[in-house]
Amino acid sequence: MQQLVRAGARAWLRPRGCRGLSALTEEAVQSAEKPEPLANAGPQAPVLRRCELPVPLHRRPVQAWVESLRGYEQERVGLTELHPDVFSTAPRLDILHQVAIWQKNFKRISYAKTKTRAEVRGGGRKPWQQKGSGRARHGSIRSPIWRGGGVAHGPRGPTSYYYMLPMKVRVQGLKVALTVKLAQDDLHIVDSLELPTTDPQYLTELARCRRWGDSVLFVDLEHEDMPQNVVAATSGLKTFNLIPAIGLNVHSMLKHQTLVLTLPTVAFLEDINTGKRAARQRPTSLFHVRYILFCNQRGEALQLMAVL
Amino acid sequence: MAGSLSWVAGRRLWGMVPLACRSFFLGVPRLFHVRVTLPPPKVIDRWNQKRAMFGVYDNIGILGNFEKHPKELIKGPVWLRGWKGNELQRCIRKKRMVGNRMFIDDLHNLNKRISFLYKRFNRHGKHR
Repeated sequence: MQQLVRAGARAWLRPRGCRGLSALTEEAVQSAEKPEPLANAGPQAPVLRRCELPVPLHRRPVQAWVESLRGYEQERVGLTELHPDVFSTAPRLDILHQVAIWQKNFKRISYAKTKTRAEVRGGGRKPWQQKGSGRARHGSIRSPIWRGGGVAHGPRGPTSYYYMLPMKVRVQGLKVALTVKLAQDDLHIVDSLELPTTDPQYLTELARCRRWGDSVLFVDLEHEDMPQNVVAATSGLKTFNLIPAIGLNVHSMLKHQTLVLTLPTVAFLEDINTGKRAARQRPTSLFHVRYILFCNQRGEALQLMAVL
Repeated sequence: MAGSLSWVAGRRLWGMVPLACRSFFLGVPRLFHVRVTLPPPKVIDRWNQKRAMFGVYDNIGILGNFEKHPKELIKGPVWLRGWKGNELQRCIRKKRMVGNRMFIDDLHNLNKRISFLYKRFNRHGKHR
């Protein structure tokens, strides 16, 4: 554990634009500099990943363990930084609700249809004369008050319930869902989805060992690059599902108890959610311009900070 | 109610009380059958393929570089994919898109419905 922390701290030792590990690890590096001999024969180097995208100055990246699916005990294989705007936004439950309800309803087409009095077969003739027969007056035998008559205000034809939420609301819904999963310890990051066997039993045992819960959603980056073992194992199980990164959505994240992302998927999601495409932001405010300048010119960073 | 019917002497005559002023405790005719046992519970599989994979690819636009829109995922009648309208709008859209290949009776009913709804929406009620 200490080796991991020190190795990570050493990798981050050079000062960069983004904030690295917490102050405690930096102090640990500065205090103990002597090389320690490797106690175990062949522990692999820890998998470390940092945020490529610029992090706002007032926030630090969130950290998460990187796990591995190759063995039952291989938790904490590495450490990764996650962008705070994606994995640590405000927990907007109202946005989550909006997006979940949108997902449920926008595809809905209701096929319920009833016949009106004009469409029911027959009923063109007046059943008996207006006056003189002693019975109530009627114009047709298919009016809504008659048995076998048409329905007055029933469902009419295939109805669609389509609507679209603004794109930014849908994007924010994804970010909030990822934040909530991470905050509630239901998000696990994995270096890759490689399994030692094709047996579905291995996955269930692994989930039981690590206390992941009843249902797990595995997310890989591309459909073609998924390892054969995972595909075979998850196709045999109902509650363990595998989707590509394009298929990620709030409903699936809420339906499955645990979410397992690979490192390339995390990079893809951060790029989408903070990149220029989804939000289509242009640096209009002065603060934004100042911030970009700071990130681009590393050599003159301190000078700019002093000036502005 | 009991006071007004007190003149009906004897238990036999309670059966002749008309249905409108009848109390439930007099008994219900056996034609109005209500079940006294629960039906067998309906077993619903919450994790079948459709329910487990519901909602996947809904964000194909924002995550997939905007090559496809989620409205292209909707399966249904041609005149309703990725579109919403009230009944008159739906009838008009159906007539424009598939009216030339409908059955004659269905087209006739559709035309009648359009003219009825047009007159209803534009001439009656509060909103014209």
